[in-house]
Amino acid sequence: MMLNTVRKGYAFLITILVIGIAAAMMSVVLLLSGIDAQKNARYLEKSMQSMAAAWSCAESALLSLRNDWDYDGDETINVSFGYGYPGGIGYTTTPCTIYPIGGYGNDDRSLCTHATIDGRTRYLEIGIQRIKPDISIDSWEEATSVTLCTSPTL
Amino acid sequence: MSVNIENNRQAHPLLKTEEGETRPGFLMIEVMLAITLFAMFASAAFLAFISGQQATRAGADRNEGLFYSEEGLEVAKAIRDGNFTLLTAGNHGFGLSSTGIWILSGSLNNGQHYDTDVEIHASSASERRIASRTKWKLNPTLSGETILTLGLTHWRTNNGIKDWSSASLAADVDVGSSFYFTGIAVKGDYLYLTSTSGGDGIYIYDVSNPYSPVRVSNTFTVSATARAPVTYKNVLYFLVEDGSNPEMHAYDISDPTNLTSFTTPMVTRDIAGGNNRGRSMYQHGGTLYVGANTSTSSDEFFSYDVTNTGAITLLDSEDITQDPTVFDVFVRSGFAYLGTSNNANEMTVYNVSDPSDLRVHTTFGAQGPGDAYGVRQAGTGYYLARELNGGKEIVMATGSGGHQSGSTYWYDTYYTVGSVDVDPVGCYSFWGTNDATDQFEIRDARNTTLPVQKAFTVSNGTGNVVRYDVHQDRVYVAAATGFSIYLPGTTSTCP
Repeated sequence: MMLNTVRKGYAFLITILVIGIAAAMMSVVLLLSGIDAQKNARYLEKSMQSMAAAWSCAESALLSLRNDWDYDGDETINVSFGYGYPGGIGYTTTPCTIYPIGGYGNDDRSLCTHATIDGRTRYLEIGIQRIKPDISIDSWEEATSVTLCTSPTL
Repeated sequence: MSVNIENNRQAHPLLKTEEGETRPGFLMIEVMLAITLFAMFASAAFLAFISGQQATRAGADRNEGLFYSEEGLEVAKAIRDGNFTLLTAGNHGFGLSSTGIWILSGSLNNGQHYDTDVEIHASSASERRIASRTKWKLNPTLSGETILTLGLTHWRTNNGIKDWSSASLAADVDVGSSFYFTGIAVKGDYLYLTSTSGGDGIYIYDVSNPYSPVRVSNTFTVSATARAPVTYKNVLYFLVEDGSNPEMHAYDISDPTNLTSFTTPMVTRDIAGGNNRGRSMYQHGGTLYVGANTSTSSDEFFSYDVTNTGAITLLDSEDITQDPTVFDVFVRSGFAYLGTSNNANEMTVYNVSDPSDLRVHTTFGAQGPGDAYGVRQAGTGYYLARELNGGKEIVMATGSGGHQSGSTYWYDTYYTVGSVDVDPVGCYSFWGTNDATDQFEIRDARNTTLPVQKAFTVSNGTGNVVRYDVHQDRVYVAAATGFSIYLPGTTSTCP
């Protein structure tokens, strides 16, 4: 009889322990996944900011090409970068790179840019059919690395 | 009491010491300790659970906020694509118009939980800084904002092709009478003309004022026939027929007013297969494509790398079937179009996507044996200018990317058509002829009947070479004894 009572107590204790450990593990997993979710959101934010910066670089280069098709590219420029502060948006700059413009003259040019923010790099490759009388784009693609243009010399 | 203790000992044997003594109060302490530990443990687990849940939610909220911010940037891009001037400075909301077009409206885009506004700053007349900000506050602990910033510029502006159906003559320059012009190149405000040996071989004109061209570098002359001038960066290339090698010459034109000596080129290059082989040349992306005179023992089509302007490096060459003379070369989108003397295939198209590996892509035979003196591709068609020799002198075929994708249209002009050029959009085609009255014709390039929009009598004779200058929206016509400059009407039209 005494032996049976002892066994019931241990079973209850072990059950509580197992449930507790499982609950604790679930909580820890949820906590870690929550932290990861926040990290991922931050990474996505940096990545989207990088894409916006690379795009801004492409816009700037296209304007330069429209004004002068001898524009060579091959430079790093600073583009606007907005951040929040109480009551408004503050602005600073972030660098982005314009690769050497491919081709020469009015037809069949190529333009590549990239920008990196907090280790997140995004690349753009743009095929330009012609520059004048209006810029006509053949292709505008994101790339995992640049193959359409030669590497910057800077 | 002893009975109770005994009962407890029986009910709770674990409360006995080893010696069998009881420990009064121990149960209470142990229970309290256990409850405390359990409470701490449970609280920690609960806090971890709540924190994890909140962190997950916060991450999801930020992701959603980012996509709303991205939407703001996409709206700005769409508005820019339609009309750059609609990107007015200030803070804006946005929405769809009644016609389904994105527009800026109000000062804030109110969502159920997320508010987005687009702040536009006019950095200059052709630049805008766009900041798309999304804020959210779902409860006191779940709030935040995301900001994405984009620079947009007015590169989509369309300078337009002006109305060439109301073109006019700006200048007519008579240079001489014992030669004829063979080629035209334009760079900036300077016009480079080549001529046969009776003239100076090379002529450079300042055409910054199209009504009054001024010749410069008068002493820079070639005592031989020169052909096919092209420019790449600050270098002028042309072909020379002086009976001795080499044919290809290059000169620094950083200052076109200061060229003095033909005998001191930057660099020269011989074309294989004998003397006087160079006939036509086209520059594309740092590669010179050269068409040669007929040769049964050598090639007729060559590619040279000139990206290093101090050298002309042979990349590849091709022996064209039946060894025709290549009168004209035109390159676009990875294909080289060759106008030749081959009676069966007046046009040969090469795939030049790799200039060091020229490959025949297709051929095209026009009616009759007339040579193809000029070839161009623009828009969705290509165009051949041909010798009067029992066939059709003007050919238009629908096609691009090296392919004839549709029908072919043939037109009898009953005179030789020596040259053709087309604006890059493919609105107008420009033809040089040896007609008795209309040596320069402007035709609607999009209409398969190629209707004449305007025709001119060129006072200097046969329209040997016609070049459209996309920079200035001008046409230069080099004739037998001089050249002419034509300007379009003032309105922007494309027939």
